[in-house]
Order: sequence, then C-alpha cells, then structure tokens
Amino acid sequence: MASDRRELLFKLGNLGLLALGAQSAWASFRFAQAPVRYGAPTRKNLGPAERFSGSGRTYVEEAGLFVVRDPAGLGALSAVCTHLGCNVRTDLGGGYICPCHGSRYDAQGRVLGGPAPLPLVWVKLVRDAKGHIIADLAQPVAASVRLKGVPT
Amino acid sequence: MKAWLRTVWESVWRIGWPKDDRSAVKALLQSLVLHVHPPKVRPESLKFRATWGLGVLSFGLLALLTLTGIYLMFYYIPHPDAAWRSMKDLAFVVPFGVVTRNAHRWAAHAMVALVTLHMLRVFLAGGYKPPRQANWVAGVWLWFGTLALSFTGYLLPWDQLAFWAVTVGSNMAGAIPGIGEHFRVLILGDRTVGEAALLRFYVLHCVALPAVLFALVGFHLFRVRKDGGLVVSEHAESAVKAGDGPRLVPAWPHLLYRELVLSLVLTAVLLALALWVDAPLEPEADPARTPNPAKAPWYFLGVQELAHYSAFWGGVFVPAATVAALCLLPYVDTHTQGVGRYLPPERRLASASFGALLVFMAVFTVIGTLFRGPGWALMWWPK
Repeated sequence: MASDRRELLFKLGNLGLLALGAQSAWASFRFAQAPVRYGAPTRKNLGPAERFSGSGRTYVEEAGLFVVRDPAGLGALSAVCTHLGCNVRTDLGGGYICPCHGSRYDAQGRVLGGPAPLPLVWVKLVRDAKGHIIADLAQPVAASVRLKGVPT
Repeated sequence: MKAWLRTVWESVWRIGWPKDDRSAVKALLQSLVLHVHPPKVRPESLKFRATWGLGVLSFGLLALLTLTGIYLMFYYIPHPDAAWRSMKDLAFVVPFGVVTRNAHRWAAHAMVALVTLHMLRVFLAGGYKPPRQANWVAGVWLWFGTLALSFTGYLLPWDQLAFWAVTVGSNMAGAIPGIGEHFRVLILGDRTVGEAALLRFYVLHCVALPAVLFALVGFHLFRVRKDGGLVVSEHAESAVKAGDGPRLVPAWPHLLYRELVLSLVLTAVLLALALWVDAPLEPEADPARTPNPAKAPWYFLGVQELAHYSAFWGGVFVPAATVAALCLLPYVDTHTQGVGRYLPPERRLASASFGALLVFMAVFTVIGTLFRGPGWALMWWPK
C-alpha cells in the first residue's frame, strides 16, 4: 500500500515537473515573439509626382520598388524576390532577374524561370495632399492597377 | 621565505612536476582539467593516423575562437548604426585589431572544416557503434552548433555579405511549412533583418550558443573516456585483454605532449594566416541593394545551390534530413564487425553511402562556390 502511494506521488510529481517545463517553454517562446517591432514603416513616401514624369521604370532605392509608367498611369512593383527575399534588378530584356538564385520575371512580374514560386508583388500607390506619391508595401494590388492622372 | 613560497605552491598543485610514470598518473588524476584523460592509453590510439589530431585541433580552435571572440567583444557594438563602424575601428584604430579579427574569422572557417573531417574520421572507423551511440549524436549536435555559430557570427560585421546571406538564410527558415513564418520572426525579432535581428544574433553568438556548445563539449570529452577511449579494432582489443598486446602507456607525457605540440602548431599556423591574409569586409549593409551575386560562406554554398532549385526541398528538407539521418545512424547501423579500421571490407555499404553523401555535398558546394556568377547563372569559367 505504502509503495503504491509513493509511486503515485512520484508520478504526480513528474507530471507537475513536466507541466512546469512545458509552461516555461511556452512562456519563453511567447517572450521571444517580439510584439514590438521597430522595422521600417510599410508606407513609403516616394517624393513628388514629377520624379516619375519620364517614361519607363524608376528604381526607388529607399522603398525597394520599381515605379513603372505606362500609358495607363503609374504602377509600383516590389523588388523583393518571392523566393528568398533578395532585391531583383532589371535585365536587358525589360524584365527582372534576382542576383541570389537567378529567378527571372517578365516586365509584369510574372515568373519566367528559376526557383521563384510566385510573381513579384504590385503594391498600391496613392497621392497625398502635397502631390507626393505614397506606396504601401503591405497592400498588394492586381498587376493592372494604375494610379491615374499623374502629369507626365 | 623560499620554504613558505613552496608551501603556497604545493597548496595549489599538491603534487610537484612528476618524476616517474607513477607520479605522472597521480598528477593527472589530481588535476581537474587533465583528468578528462585516462591515466593510461593504448599506444595504438596515439598514432597520428588513429585520429589525425582532428578532435584536439577542433577543441583548440574552439578555445582560440573564445579568446579572440572575447577580445572582439570589447570593441564591437551590436547596432545597425555602429556595427560596421566598429569593424572599421578594429581595422584601422585598435592595435592588433586586424590580427584579432582575422584570427577569429580564419579559426571559424577552419573549425567548420575540421569538425566535419573529425566526423568523417569517426564514421570511417565505426566510432558511432555501441557503446558510443550517444556520443556520436552529441558530436552531430556539436557540428550543427558549429554551423549555427558561424551563421550567427556572419551577420555581426553588418556588411553587404552579412546582411544578404542572413536575409536569404532566414527566408529559407520561412519556407518550413506551417511554422516557417513564426520561426523566422522568432529568430529575427521582426519581419526583416534589422536592429532586432542583429541583437538576437549577437546574444546567440556570444552567449547562448557558446554556453550550449561548452556543455556539449564537456559531455563529449567525458564520454570519450567513459566509453573506453578511441575505438580500436577487435584484434587489438582482444590482444590487450589477453595481456599479449603492447603495454598501455601513461597519458602524461605521451598523450599530453602530443596534444601540446598539436596546439602549438595550430596556434602558429593560425597566427601566420591572420598576419598574412585579411578577413574580407564588404561595404556597409544596404537593405535596398542586393550585391550580385549574393553568396553565403563556402560551407553554406551547397545548401544555397540546392535552394536555387527549391527553397523548401533544398533549403529546409535536405539539411534537416541530413541531421536527422546522422542522429539515427548509430541506432540503425549496429553491426560491430570491422570497427576501429578505416574502410574495412565488412563496412563497404556504410562507407560507400557516407562517401556518396559527401560527394553529393562537395559537388553542390563546388558548383555554388566556383561556377555560379551574377544572377546565380552557371559560368563555365570560374572567376
């Protein structure tokens, strides 16, 4: 009887330690989850609209995106490769190529080759009260969406 | 006065410099550090070809890395605004700063290479067979820990190479199905590589990972001794048991002097290398511009080459499966024929499959290192 009781108590004790361990692991995981993030804001001011008055593509370095002007208006294509996050560059054929693992995209950001699983992301452009172009990297849009009425 | 100094000295060392084998054994057993060695060792285990000194050299590199690392910590500031500048301070202002950083960098490269070769050596001799299974697994984790220390250390200079290698590496972690994105945020402390990631990598590199590694090294060395020293062939084992083999020799001086000589040669070679060859430092990290091509250090280029085919299969599955297979190996391959010899006919399958894995890794590493140019395009003429 006594040894049965002792064994049960040991088992309960082990369960308690296990629960304590699991709880600590969970708390550590939560602790490391970093609710406060000092990363750069996703809304980027690309400057006055005149900056993009010429035709073709402009790489906006501080925002990591290409601003594309075509007859329909202005579009913004994120330069972040969908494979592993390097910044793509323009290639000679009018498309894009990633320097890290060689993913290739066409001018619309569609995948032509390489390991990229998804097309490049087009993001939303708006104009603020001062006439500056604002891009929101966190707001993807369809490839055909253009900001209209920007003076050429 | 002299007698008084002598009592102080003897209160610390207890036993003076040994004069014969008997007092040498006693001195060894009295010492906290030295008694990781057995008092007596097999002469067969002392031959250079028994180990090629790989374990001792790996340990020596760990010691040198710890020492130079502590030195570097006095000047290094783990913040994006200051990290790269403190590299420049080390290079141009701090006396012997260049040599210290060079030594740390080259020792890190050498440690990855030697720990890998050490694992290969132990595999070829069948050193993972019973009763040494747990120590092999500890060794696999030491190898993994060495790579993790290299990876975390890689970010700290905050140059272009550092920033983009870690961007790619952490996005690979993000390719783990289901938990990938959580895991990525966990190691970066943010969605992209920045202030939080640098601080996390710094703490991991300087405190957390070394603490784990030292504990594992302690276990590893203790078990080498407790599992009966180096694995030797059945023939030599039975000869010793029957009493007609070569006599055991005391570890002091035979083992200790060999270790001392190896450590001195290692230090000399590393110092020469650090004086003559400078560790590279690229321009300061620029999140807007990816260098072309963006390459990881050589020992990760095999994985980068694989990731070029698929982020998940190449960057996550193959590395994870390799570590898992290495951990399971001693519990699957339990035959004890042919241990203690290199490439014995009894272990042809084991040697061949391990060789195949090695060739596979080497081929992809060589392709990634030499034959990949801008845009990760194949180039037939290495630069």
